[in-house]
Amino acid sequence: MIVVLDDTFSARHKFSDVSYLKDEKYHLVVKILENPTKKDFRELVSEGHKVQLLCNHRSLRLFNDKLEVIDGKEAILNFFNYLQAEKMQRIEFGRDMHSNLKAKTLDKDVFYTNLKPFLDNFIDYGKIEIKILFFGSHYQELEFLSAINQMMDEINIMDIDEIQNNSLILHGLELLYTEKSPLQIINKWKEKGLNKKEILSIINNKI
Amino acid sequence: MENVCLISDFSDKMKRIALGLNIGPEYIISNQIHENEKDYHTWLNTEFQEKNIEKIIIPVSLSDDGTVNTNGLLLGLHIRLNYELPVSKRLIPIIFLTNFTVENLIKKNQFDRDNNSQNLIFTKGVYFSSFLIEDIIHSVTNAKESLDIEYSRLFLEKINIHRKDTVGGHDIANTWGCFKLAQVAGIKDKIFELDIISKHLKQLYAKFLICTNESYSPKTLVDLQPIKCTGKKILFIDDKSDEGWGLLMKEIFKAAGTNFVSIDSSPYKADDYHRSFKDFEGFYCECLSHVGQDWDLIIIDLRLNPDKEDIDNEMISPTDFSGYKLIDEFLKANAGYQIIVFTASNKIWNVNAASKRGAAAYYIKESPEFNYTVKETQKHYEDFKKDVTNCFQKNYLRDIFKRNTNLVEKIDNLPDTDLGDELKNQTTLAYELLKISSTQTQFAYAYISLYMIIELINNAFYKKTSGDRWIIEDGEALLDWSYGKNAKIYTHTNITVSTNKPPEWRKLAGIYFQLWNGKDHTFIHDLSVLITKRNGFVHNDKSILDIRDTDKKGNTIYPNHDIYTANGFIKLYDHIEKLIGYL
Repeated sequence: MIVVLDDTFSARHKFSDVSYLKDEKYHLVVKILENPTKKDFRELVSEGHKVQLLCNHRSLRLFNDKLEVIDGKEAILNFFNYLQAEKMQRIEFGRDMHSNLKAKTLDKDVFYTNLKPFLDNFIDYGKIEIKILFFGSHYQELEFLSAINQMMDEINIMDIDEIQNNSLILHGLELLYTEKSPLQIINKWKEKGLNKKEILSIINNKI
Repeated sequence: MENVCLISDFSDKMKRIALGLNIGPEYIISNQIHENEKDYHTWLNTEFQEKNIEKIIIPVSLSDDGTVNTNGLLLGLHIRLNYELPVSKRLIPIIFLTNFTVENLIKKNQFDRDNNSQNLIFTKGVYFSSFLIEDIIHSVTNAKESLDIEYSRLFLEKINIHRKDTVGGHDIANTWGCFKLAQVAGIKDKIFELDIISKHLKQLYAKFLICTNESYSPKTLVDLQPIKCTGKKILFIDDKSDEGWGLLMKEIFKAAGTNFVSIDSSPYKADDYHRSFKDFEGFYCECLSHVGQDWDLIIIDLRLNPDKEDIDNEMISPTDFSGYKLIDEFLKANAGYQIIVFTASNKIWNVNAASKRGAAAYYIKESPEFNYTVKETQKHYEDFKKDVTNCFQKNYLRDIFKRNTNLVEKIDNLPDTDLGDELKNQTTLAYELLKISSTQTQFAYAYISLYMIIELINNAFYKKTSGDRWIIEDGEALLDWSYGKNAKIYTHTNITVSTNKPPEWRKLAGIYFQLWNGKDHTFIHDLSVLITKRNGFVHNDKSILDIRDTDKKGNTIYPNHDIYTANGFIKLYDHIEKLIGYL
């Protein structure tokens, strides 16, 4: 189960398509709490084992049973501390938040844009792939680009005669040239006597 | 490389570049991952204020987990839009480092639709280089400075930054309005220090607006003519009082000292980021508790409960706004209260409704949607100050209204209900005329309307009999009262007046001395002077109106000219009030 605590959810339909969340398919795997109360927190704690990921609005408001806003800073903090102690996965989203995978914080628009592919992936494979929430369903392409970038970084640094010994370069070439082995590519570059600039240019053309 | 700065994550790659370019540690800016745009602004601004940076090198991808991104371009936008820097500093050449070609950079990345940082690539003063030292040296050496005059055409016009859909218009508008007014009121720095203000103004969207409209002045402007409000009691009601406005208004009305009261909304709000009300009723009740007190000026925000009253695409009748309801309560208690409506709403019907109800003036908080320069904001502020001064000048309305209420109570107890009704109508009419008076003639008309009460009383007390004799309440006939200037008393020669139309002052003297056995000759004399003044205006008799006198300093004064001002009305009112007291 994925739990989303978002006190601003009622306005979300203005900015993103969230109508799909009403479908049973999604309804079964995601629980949206628009007006979280202390009682909800207690229930989530008791169902802790079922919650695989909790996503919360950064400036979450807490409500009472009459749906009135109450002072909730401390209760929310205690709840999050509990989740942390229980090693439950949590990500935080908010407006004007720079997405940071390491810190598990991301922009609210990005969160809702990527929520559907994330849930689809979860439904299909039963796996929490947080990268989808951060980078979208094309996160693999981004991983590919990141690997190529790292490869180029290494090419920049290394002596051209040593590049065949660098694992990051070999990995990058593997991803880029699926039909040839990395060593074949490197040997070809060496045969042609290419300099770093020319090699980087070839890589850019191949991407 | 002198004055060339490098943003570095201190990875081996960046260390090597710093070494290869011979950039000293004082010119290496440690890359920081911040949570939001405000913190990025603050960080970069501090670096630019501390260092003399002429060119800057920024990696396009700045991440701490190896995932490629384009965050460096966002830093570029923050530099270009840093209104706290002079334009020449904003325009320094930026050399972006990337392994990718520009084509791949654009094709392979997704850019956020609000900031559109990819547009920066196509602006002047932006250069790209690989991470190879010789490439960087070449780019840095060839990077040219841009001219200040090119800022708008070659940068601002080429970028496209939107307000994030999720950022509340009400929040931005209030922050913007507060900042703009603070700037021209000479208290920009104090307001800018508030986190609640700067968190909005340091966002790229606000920065873009500020730079585009040149609505930021690095200088601290001085308000050379602050509002004179010593001894004035001012009440300020705004749900955003705890978000800059309370502090701003306190500074604007500094001379009022502790007589300036801003209702603190914070105890009624939840402790969350939105600062939404958890107890709006409590806040509203506290506002109501000030109804009936002596306020020389009341400033009320129209929409005090934005969660319910500031909803996008929802039409709410202005009379349903909590601010409107408060105005109504204040004016029901005393129609003479001087109220200035504050609103971030640009809908004229909202302001009109408040004006129609009796608000004296309005101030529309500037919105980022309108392009006002600092000069225009200054004009806006001057208008506000004039409105405040006008309100202070009209303080007499509050006092007269109160006295009128007491007077009406007294009139209600009169045995002669016909006269009572006439008197009530006339006092109300005179007050209404006074309320709308702003020109000399309007004040004079209000005076004449009030004077009519004297005629109403005289008419009620006299019966004209044959031979033009004037009988007071079926009793004595009116005697020939006259005023002795030397003795300063009224006397008569026991002769009854037999004339078609005796002057009103003589009729009054008859009632006062003969019927009521009054002893205050000065009172009747003063009334006689006030009646004469009225005659002077009605008959355009300059010999009365332009009577001269000299004040204590020997200056020439025109005592009857006060008919053209509220003072004349008030003098007459003092006497009318006393006169009705005898009834």
